Amino acid sequence: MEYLILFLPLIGSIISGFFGKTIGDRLSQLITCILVSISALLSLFIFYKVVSSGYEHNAIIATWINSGSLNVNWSIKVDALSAVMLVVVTLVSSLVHIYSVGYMSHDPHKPRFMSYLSLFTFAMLTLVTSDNFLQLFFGWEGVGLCSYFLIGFWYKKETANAAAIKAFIVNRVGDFGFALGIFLIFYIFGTVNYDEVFLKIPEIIDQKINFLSFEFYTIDLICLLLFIGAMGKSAQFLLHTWLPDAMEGPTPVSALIHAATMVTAGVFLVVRCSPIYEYSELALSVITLVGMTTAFFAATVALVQTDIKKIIAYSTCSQLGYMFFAAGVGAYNVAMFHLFTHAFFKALLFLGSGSVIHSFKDEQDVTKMGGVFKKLPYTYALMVVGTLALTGFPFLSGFYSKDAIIEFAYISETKFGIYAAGIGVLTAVMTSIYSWRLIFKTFHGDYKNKDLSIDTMHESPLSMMLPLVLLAVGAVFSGFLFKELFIGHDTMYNFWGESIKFIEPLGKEHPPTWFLFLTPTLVVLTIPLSYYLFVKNTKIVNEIVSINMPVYIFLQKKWYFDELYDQIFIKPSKSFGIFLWKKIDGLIIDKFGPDGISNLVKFFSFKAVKFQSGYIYQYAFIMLLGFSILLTLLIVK
Amino acid sequence: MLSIGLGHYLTLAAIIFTIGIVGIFLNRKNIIVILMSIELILLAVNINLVSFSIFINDLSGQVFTLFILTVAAAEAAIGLAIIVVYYRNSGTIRVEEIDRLKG
Amino acid sequence: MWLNKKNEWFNSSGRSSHIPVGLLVSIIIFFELIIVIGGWKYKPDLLDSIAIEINTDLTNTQSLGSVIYTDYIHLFQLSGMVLLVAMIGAIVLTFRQRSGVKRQNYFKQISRDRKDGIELVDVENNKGVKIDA
Repeated sequence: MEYLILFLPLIGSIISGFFGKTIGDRLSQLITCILVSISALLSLFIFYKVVSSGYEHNAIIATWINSGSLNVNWSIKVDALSAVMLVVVTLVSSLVHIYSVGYMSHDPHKPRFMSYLSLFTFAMLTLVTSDNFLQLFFGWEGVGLCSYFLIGFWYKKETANAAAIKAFIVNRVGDFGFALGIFLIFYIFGTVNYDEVFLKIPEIIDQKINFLSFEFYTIDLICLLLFIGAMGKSAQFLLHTWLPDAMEGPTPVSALIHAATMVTAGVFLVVRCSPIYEYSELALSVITLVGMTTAFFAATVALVQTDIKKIIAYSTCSQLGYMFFAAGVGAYNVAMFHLFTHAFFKALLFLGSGSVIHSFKDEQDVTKMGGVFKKLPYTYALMVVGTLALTGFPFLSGFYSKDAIIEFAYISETKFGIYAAGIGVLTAVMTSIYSWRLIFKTFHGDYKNKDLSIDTMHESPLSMMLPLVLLAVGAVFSGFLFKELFIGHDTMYNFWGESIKFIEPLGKEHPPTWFLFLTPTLVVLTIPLSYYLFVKNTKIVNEIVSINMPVYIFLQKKWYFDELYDQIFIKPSKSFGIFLWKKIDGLIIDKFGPDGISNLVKFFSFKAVKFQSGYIYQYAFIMLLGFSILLTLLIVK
Repeated sequence: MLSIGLGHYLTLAAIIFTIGIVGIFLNRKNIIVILMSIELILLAVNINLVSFSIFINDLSGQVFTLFILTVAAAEAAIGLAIIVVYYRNSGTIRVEEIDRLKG
Repeated sequence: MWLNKKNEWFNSSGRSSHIPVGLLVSIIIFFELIIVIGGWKYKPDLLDSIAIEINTDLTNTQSLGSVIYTDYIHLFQLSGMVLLVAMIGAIVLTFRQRSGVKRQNYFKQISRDRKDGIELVDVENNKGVKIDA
């Protein structure tokens, strides 16, 4: 069964990718959708087995590397953690597959798109079901590759290509750290299999290692290097710049890869490596710090963006920050819980926005929308559900997971705990404001699009609405239903089993009651506030903007990160590259190397050509000359 | 009375050999002269062989001379035939104008 | 006929500069040969290496024949082959089929038929007839 889950998407991808032309659009869509859906159903069944009977299984497919002490298998490891990921990945993936049938209906390259989606699903599944770091890395790079393909899917669009390359390169930075981390693990432990590594961790707690002339605790270093990888993939602060640009890809891609699954791989990595991270206080502090910075930063930027997808992208970034700081304060299960719920409501929001974009004929600017909630009632309703869930409206999924994060941050005893909780609350409020701003700007107010008449607005087809409805169900109920299972104190048994390690069990006390009510209250209060600000009285917003123009531009420019990186990294390396190319390569290596030698050969062959005149008497004369020299030599001797 | 010894024969051969060589590369006009020069060189060698054969009383030198003569005859036949064909094709056998012997 | 051309041996057109050099080299070679001959010695064991001693009882021609037709018969045959090949080669190289030469073909002559040679045509009045087929 595990095999089927893993390989059905791959089969779908191969069929649709290689034979898409022969079997046609319709059939390749059908095949990929059905195969991924079967995979999703099987995943649900596995999840049920894991929940009900603590099922654990490590199916080894084949030996990959067996060289000296390095033994690596292709494997499908099923435990609580990977079961959760399996469900998230396959479920969202299958819904996105179905959604894509409608969304990409005008695109000429449907089989290719479906193939990429399925391939991505396969890569993501190998990532989450790995039992060693190497297969994890394989999946890690696989999803990166598919992300590249899919961001650049509309390859005729220059911005899409640029965004794809940007995503790929920024991820390289993270992957560099990740690879170093894996090297270090192999160097220290002589193995890359999770079980063996985790078993040996306590033995090296006090070991130190010299890295870049600094003394580090080995564990700290491993954790930090792995976390750099996670930062790249999960678009955390400093390595986040690719995620908003990745919205150049088709919207289903944004929903699947850049919201629900791939970007959460970093969180998954940290949680999977919890047995290592638990021993590294430094790394956990760094994770908390980076996580909350990201959460705060992304939320501030999201406040002023006007591109509907970029708002949601920054929101994703921010929510990933939440997950990381949950992991940072030691609440790995809460991080996973937020990952789980987030997948539903963020995919819902993305697909919903896709539906809006579809209706507006590829218009993404919220300032050119508005007033269409009557024309798109279902999309509107579903988007509102998604927004409520995201902002943590009481009793929807976000409420359970996000508030749990803030609470755990509050009660945790780490250095940044309280601070993180404060940031968490602030960010939650901002999240709520920008989410409602999105809703109000898109659906309320006056109709502002000049290119399309409002009468042409119509709902998206059923194939697009059905996944939305299912995701909405998930967004509403996933928090309530799985709260006890994921983060409950009183469950009958320990759901996570061995997959998540806590040195000390999480605190069971609750934060003060006022704190419990603080976030939901604020969140609920922001709804009328936002309505007032963005619909009723937009002057206030404009005034605030005009008073704080520098701040506004600072946020509008995304804290100038792109410009900063351009100045710090891109321009110097570009000029350095040009220097190497023109000066070193062109003027030195080529001049004295290939060009020089060929010129030399040419020069001498032009000289030698003169000898070969074709005149017999000259040849004879030269022979004679040689003969006489030889004879003279012999006589003189 | 000057008795003619080996040295005289060898000097004669050397003279003929040198004439042959000079003929090859000083000749600018006629390719047949080159053939004749080659012939001269071979004959110079033959004179050497015969004189040594007599001098050391060994017949094999003369046998070799016979073989060299056959080879020279064959070479002359083929060489002249090639010249004929060449003349037919290019209309000239002036050595100065024959410069096809290059890549 | 090529030899009948006026001999322009030493007044080659504008390239006379090579002649002194060539002569110089040839003279050097000549004198070197003379030096070699003048300083010539042979190894004492040369006389022991004689393969076929000349029998003074016979004439030179007889003794040559007796060697060539016995000891060197194979090489002699081979040299005959070389001459044959040279002859055939010379013929092949110089032989050429000339076009436009009229030849007699007996078979064609005797296998002629009446209708190959004669065609009867009814000529209309004042029209004439085309003869070329």
